Amino acid sequence: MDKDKKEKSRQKKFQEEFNSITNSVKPENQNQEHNVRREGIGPQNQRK
Amino acid sequence: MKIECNICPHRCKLDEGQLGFCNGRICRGGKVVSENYGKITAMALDPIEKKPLYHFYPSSKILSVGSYGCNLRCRWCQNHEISMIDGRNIDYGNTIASALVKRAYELKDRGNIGIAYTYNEPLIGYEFVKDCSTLAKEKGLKNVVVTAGFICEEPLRELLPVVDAFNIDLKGFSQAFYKKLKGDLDTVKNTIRIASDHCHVEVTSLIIPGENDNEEEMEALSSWLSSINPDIPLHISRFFPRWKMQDREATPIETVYHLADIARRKLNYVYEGNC
Repeated sequence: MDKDKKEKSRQKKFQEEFNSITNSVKPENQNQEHNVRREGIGPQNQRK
Repeated sequence: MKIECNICPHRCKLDEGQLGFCNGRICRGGKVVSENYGKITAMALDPIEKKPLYHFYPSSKILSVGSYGCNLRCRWCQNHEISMIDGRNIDYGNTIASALVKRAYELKDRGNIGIAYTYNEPLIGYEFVKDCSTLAKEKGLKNVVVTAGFICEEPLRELLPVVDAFNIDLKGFSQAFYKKLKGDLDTVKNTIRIASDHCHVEVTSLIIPGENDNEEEMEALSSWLSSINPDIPLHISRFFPRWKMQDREATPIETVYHLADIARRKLNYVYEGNC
């Protein structure tokens, strides 16, 4: 394996490990119950 | 010799190797530095309305990242798994500012507008926020800080040129209440005042039954906020039992709506949250 491939493989492994940690915690937002369709997309679509 | 941390009003005096009250700062090499720098415990591409920001790029998404530690002690903390812990007792992924900004940039085609520093108290690690925000700004990305606002003026002012929007948690409007959380009302008021002079600010108040749900407090809070700018959006959020505060029910929806009506007498944009 050449140097480039090795580096890419190392980065991929690092990224997978990073993702597995940072995606495993499910934090709550202050407005966790926010309904994006009703409060966000809805009002924008209603604009004339 | 003890070294004083100058990030927040706790002003922890630390021996070499000692962590501060926030669990995110440490005395190392005769200086107090951010111990949680580049250590990410949680990451998600969230709707901006969840921060909550309703008047800042509505319907967009924002790459939201959190580390660990906090300089307050709210018994109802919804993210206590990451906020009330130190780095020895939690898994985290290491990153550097340029890598995080690159990731945020790559997510633009999924509606991402930038980076939100959130979940735990981001300002205890203000160096990482500043480094990422500076790079993100150069790339045309937006920076959002979701904070309790319990920070000294000097680090806050250092961040202001690179932050586009804040959501600041105003947890109540009495010094007695803030004392229970190991905080200080005047500091948070000062943060809101200074931040709103420089960038977009929205404020969130969580209403907890029996703690901060009286009309007089909401009248005082909304009058004060209105004296800064009546167009500052105020989010009045519903409490749910969490962590050490399981001894009371969720806030009745009617209470949230009633207090929102009181706030509307002084403020132009008041929103009920989590209802």
